[in-house]
Amino acid sequence: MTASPLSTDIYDQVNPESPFDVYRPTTRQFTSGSFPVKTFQAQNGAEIRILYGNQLTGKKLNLTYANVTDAVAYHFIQHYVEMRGSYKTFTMGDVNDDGYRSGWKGPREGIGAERWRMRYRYAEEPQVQSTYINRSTVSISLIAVPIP
Amino acid sequence: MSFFTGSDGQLILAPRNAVPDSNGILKDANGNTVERLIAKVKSWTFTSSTATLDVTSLGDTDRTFREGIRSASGNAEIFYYTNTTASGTNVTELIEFQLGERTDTEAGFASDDEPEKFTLKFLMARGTQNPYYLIGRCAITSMSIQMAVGEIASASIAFDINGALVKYRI
Repeated sequence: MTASPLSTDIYDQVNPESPFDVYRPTTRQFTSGSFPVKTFQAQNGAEIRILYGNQLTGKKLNLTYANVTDAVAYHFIQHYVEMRGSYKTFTMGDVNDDGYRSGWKGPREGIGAERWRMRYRYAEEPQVQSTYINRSTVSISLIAVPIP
Repeated sequence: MSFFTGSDGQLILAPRNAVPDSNGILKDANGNTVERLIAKVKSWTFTSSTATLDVTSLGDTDRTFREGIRSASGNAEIFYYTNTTASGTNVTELIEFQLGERTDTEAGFASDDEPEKFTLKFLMARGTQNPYYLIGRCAITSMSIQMAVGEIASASIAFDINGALVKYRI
């Protein structure tokens, strides 16, 4: 099934722009991800670690958009539906410095996922809290996983 | 341009459901004037505030916000005075709102949906000019009575105003 903005099915209505490329978050919290390492510890305390992969995985990104308009909040819901929740992965516009990257002045690799051969997916559904008439605070939780 | 002094100020009390006419006179459903001047008011203050919703985002260098909920409150200092007139009242009626029995008649709450107990008009009037006023539905949030040697007994009362002002002319 091809999604189309003209589709009458609400599950097929997509917004051509990703909200993460358009809106600036109020707060941003992320981790670097980790390597798949399993640790074995002997009774004398000696430790053996086995590295199961050579790529980072599980990079977390939590974004908060405070007091945005309800239309912006709905844009995030539309994107979540388009991605079918945590099923599909997506890119985050790693080529520009606006949107979710806003304010980050370090190397793009520090905050992006694609350079590490990962893509983001939703870790949980967006949380929307209404704060005033036509104003909501949206909390997004993403996790990056290696591209197969 | 004229200035107003303390002699031009008044605090006027009316029942919870009084409605102002086009001149700001508070009347009941039958058109009878129901507002009464509170005697011996030493001072009154009216304050209106607006909460702000912070919309500052990453990358901004200056704080930005949108207007949020607006609220209003007031307070008054009134000498403790028990005499009444046909068109006037005194601080004891206000104190009764705060300390009186909480029933669904007269001084108590009329219903859970109407927390305000009375209507107050904060007024400034000079001579024959049309007065300036602010009218709101109020509930008392705090009250204290002071008594000291060499001083006139007085009451300090703080109000919160429920919802938007009913009518104002400023």
